Parts: sequence; structure tokens; C-alpha cells
Amino acid sequence: MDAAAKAFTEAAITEIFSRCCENAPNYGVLEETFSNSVFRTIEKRLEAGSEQPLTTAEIREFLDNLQADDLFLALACAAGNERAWWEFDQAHRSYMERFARHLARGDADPDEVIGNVYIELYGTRVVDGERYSKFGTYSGRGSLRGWLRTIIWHSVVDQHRAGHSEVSLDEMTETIGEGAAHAAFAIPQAEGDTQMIEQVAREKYRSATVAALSEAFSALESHEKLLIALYHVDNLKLREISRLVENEDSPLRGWIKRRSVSREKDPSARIHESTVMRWLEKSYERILDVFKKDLAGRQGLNSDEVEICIALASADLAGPDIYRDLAAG
Amino acid sequence: MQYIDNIDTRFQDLFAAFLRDRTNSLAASASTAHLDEDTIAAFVDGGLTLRELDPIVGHLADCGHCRTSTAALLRLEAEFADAAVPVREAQTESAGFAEALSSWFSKLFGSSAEGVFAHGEKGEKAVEDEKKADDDPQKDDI
Repeated sequence: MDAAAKAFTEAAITEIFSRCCENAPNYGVLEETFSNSVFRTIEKRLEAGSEQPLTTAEIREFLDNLQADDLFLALACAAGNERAWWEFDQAHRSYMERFARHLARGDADPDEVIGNVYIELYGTRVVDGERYSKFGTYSGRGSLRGWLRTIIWHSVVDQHRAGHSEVSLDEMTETIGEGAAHAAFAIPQAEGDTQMIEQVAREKYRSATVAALSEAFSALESHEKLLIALYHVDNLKLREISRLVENEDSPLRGWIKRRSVSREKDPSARIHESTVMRWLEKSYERILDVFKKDLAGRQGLNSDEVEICIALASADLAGPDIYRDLAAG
Repeated sequence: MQYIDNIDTRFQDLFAAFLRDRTNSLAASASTAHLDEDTIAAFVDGGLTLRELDPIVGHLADCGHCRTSTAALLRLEAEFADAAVPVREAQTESAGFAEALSSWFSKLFGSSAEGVFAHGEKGEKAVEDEKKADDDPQKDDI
């Protein structure tokens, strides 16, 4: 950050800090503490995220999106200010409890979860003579309530793992949605000479299919990969995905639309479920196009062989029966 | 190619399976750090700037671990978005919960909850006095 940008940032932070003090004069947060927190986040999120020089417009946008009062409260709580803790408790505890109860569903004790979260938020660990409060990790980039949901969610996951010590988080993740895929894409073992020949043929077309799928995936932009993965791998509903972008002011919405503008006929249209579906369909059109071109072009397969590739790969998902049909043919 | 043109759904399933397989493979060989809770929460909240989004979306596209957390939180966000939170609900809490809360605060501050909750028991006069004190330019913040 150059000197001018730094001066601009410092002045803007002072202004924000003054407003926070007016809203909560008893929290005892020092301007230096507040400023250091914001500068740390700018360094981590804006400067480290891109090699381009940081502009004052980007800093302004960043500061406009800062949840300043939430950050102010979090910093006060991190410092152990009792008034701040009381306000925090009044504003968020009942919400946290309901959220924990919803998450726990008999698998974890919601009171214990909230108790652990409170202890973590206050901090019992001392590092270099200072108490380490979880509040210190909150940057004000999202709402405090959204941040709390994440903390509680992880706490519930941790409690679940503690009760199922043989299950790692990754294994849990796989159990939730992705674990079956590995098996689904596996090739059934062949037995005997005849089946061995079939397997060679199968492997040829399977390899061609995987290579073409890989090529098609590479052609996608990050936001397309993310949308497709959220929908098909993580099984999010369109409504849930659309929440990411439904707000007119959502930067992600602008980000996706900016990248989709060449394919989006009406960029000003309201973004809702059907819009997300349309984005997905357009991405799939591109994937299918690249997939076909790769099989027919780079790999030189004819249309019958392309059909076989699709049939074999699809059969991998359904089970081994197709291989028996192939052998019979 | 006619066959392919009519297999959109099957192809989508196929591609989804490919993505799951790829995600698992990447997870097995993952060497990069995962997104922290603050970043995931901010992403789900939708408040990040364009400049902040590029590396995060790129990471989420490839990291099944972080995407699973993000997806779970997006679901929960949708479930809780419209649920209004009663203000000052704590004032009607049961004695049993108040005791539990007192216990937490005892752990946190090494004292009972009374000192902490004294703020909530102020009468109107006390609030007025506090407001006057807040307006006093000589007064410290704490």
C-alpha cells in the first residue's frame, strides 16, 4: 500500500471508529486496536490476494462492506469488556442457542456446545502472557451472526467427532456426500480371458472419457466450477445457491455476472433460482461441447465410440450390468 | 452425435461423479491450507469485495473440505434467514437456564453472572444517568 492509500485508509478508519464509539461509548476499544485489526485484514485479504496495486476505490469498497459495529463489539469482547459481553449476550445468545439446538438434533448437547463456544470466545488459553480470545479472529468481513454460525457449526462437528473417535472430519465429509463417488466411478474387476479383453476395451474408452471430462472441467472458470460443485457434489438446492447472489449489492453476484456477461443476455435481470439454473445450464452446454470436441477431435473417436464412452461411464455410475451386456454383444 | 445431444441428464450425472471423484483425489493429496472460519463465514454472508473473491472462489472450486463447510453453512443460512430473533429474549429465560448461564460466566470471569447482568437490571433513572454520563465529554469510555 502506498503512502497516499495508507493516509486515505487511516482517515477512513478514524471516521468509522468515531461512529462506532458514538454507538457504543462504553466498550473501551482503543482506536489503535481497531485500526490494527482493519489493517491486518486489508493486508491478508486485499494485498495478499492480488499482485495488482491496491487502489483507494478498492479500499473504499472494502471499508463500506466492513461490519464495523460488529467488529467493534468483538474487539471489546476480546479485551474482556463486561459491558460488551452483556450486550453480546443479549443480542446473540438466544439465537446461538436456537442454532445449536437445530444443529445438534440429538447428536450433541446444545447447551454444552454453547458453553464451549462461550469459553472459546472468551478464551482460556494464554499465549505470550495474553489471553487468546476467539473474537480476535473475527475480521468484520461478514456479519458477527454469520461468523457465530460458523463457529457453532464447527463446535458441533468437533463434538460429533469426539463421540465418534474413529471418524475423521474428512471421512465425515465423505460420508455426507462425496464418499460414494469413488466407488461409483470404480471399474468392476473382470474375471477370465474373455472378460480381460472386454476390460481392455472398457479401460480404453473409460480413459478417453475421463480425459475428455478433465479437459472440459479445465475449460471452466472458477465460479462455474464452484456453482456446479455446490449443486452436484454438495447437493445444494438452487434456492440455497441463489442466496449467495440474490442481494443486488452482493459482490459475488457482480463478480459472477461480470464473468458471465458475454453469455448472459440480460445482466440486469433479478437473480433467483431460475437464473442460477440458467447459469448451470450454460456451463453444462460448454462442458458438453468441450467434451464432444475432445473425444471426436483430439482423441479421434467416431460417433459410435463416443456413444460407447458415454454408456460405459454412465454405467460406472449405475453398476456393472452394462459390462455383461457389452460382453453379450 | 445425436445420442449425446439427448443425454443431458445422464451427462450431468456423469460429470457430477467425475467432480466427486476429482474432489476426493484432491483431498487425498491436499497440501494447501484450508480457508479459516472467518473467511468462510464472510463468503457465505456475501460481503466480500471483488478483489477478495478471486482466490476464495478458486480455492472453493477445488477444495471439497472447505466447500462442504460452505455448503452446510449456506443451507443453514437459508433455514435461519427468515427467523426473527426475539430481542431481549434472555429476560424471560427460565431459572434453569439462568443458572447455566451464570455457570458459564463464572468460568469466563471468575465471578457469578450477577456483576455482568447488573447492566440489565438498571431502572429508567439509571439509564438516564448513564446517558448523561455518556454525553459528558470529560468521561472515559469505560
